[in-house]
Amino acid sequence: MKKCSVVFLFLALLSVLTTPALQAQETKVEKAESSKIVPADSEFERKVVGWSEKIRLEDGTLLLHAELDPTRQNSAVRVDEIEKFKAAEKKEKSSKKKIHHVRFTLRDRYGHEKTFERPIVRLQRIRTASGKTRTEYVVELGICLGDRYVEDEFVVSKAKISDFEVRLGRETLEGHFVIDPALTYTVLPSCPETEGEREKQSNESNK
Amino acid sequence: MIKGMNRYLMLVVLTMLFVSMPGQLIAEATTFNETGWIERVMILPHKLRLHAKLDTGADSSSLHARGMEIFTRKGEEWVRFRIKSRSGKNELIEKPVERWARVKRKNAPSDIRPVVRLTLCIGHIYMETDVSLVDRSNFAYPMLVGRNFMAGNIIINPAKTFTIEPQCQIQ
Repeated sequence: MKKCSVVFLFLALLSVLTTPALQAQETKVEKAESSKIVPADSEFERKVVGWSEKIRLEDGTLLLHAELDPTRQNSAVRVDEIEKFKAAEKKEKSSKKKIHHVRFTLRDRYGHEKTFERPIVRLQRIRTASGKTRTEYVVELGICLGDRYVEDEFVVSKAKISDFEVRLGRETLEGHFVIDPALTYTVLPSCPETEGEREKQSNESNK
Repeated sequence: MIKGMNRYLMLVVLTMLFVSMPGQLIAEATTFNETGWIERVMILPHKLRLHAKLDTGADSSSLHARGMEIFTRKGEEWVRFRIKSRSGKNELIEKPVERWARVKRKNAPSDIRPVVRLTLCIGHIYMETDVSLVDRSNFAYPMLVGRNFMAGNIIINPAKTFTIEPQCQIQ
């Protein structure tokens, strides 16, 4: 009986020791094989999201529905009122150089409202479906999608983009997200709230 | 007695080893094809190669067709149209009309388009799908692939274009 228990212990130990090693080997094989199908992009750890997602804008007052459309280059937000005004640059008091700003109001589907004031980064000419062109303002905005905070240029427009308040184009999505056309609303925005924490996060993802 | 126990234990150990195997198989089966947002598409069995935008904002696919003609064959509604491939191959295709799709347009009356069943190949994905036909030449890309085709087959990397060749086996 003693012999039996010794053998039992030995085998139990052996099985415990060998299974993790074998599993590790298997995962290695798995990774090598899947890398043939999915090209490895070591630069970023990209997140798979659906083609429409809920996002937060900057301080998180608004919860907006966004359409992720890589066929479009630019990102855009639909706003209610746009007003252009001149604001003096605070840093250079001596030059008194005035920069064009834009003030716009955004509303979400949950009764929240926020007014933004932003310097105009550039103007964007947009070709409409009817063949005409119109000019829109472009501003810098930060969005939170999933656990990632991304800053990029957004076209501010009163025209209805689609059924969504925000469109995220490929320039904003590049390097951060991969889109699964079978999914919608897979993540809720949960980004670090302070700017310092966001910077820390972006530095980590750049490594 | 001891020998019997030994055999029993060996069995236990062996089953423990085999239990860890299926995990690998499942992981392989659920691996998706990652593609760019513009890809090479082949229309089969005509072997027409086109460049297509993979449009996550579109429900179904659409294709730029020239010289569309509606006709009746054996009491059914058919459509005759031409598709020009990248290499300049011009093919006349005749297909039964599955249904008519109404497309809303801004500042214009809504458009009505015939929908046909076409077989497409992107990478290893070979599938029949509904394609609406449009006669419009101001398209930068002659084809838009919608979510109907992509869902469950492809995930899209917005940072990439032209990542895979059509690799479907044709009998």
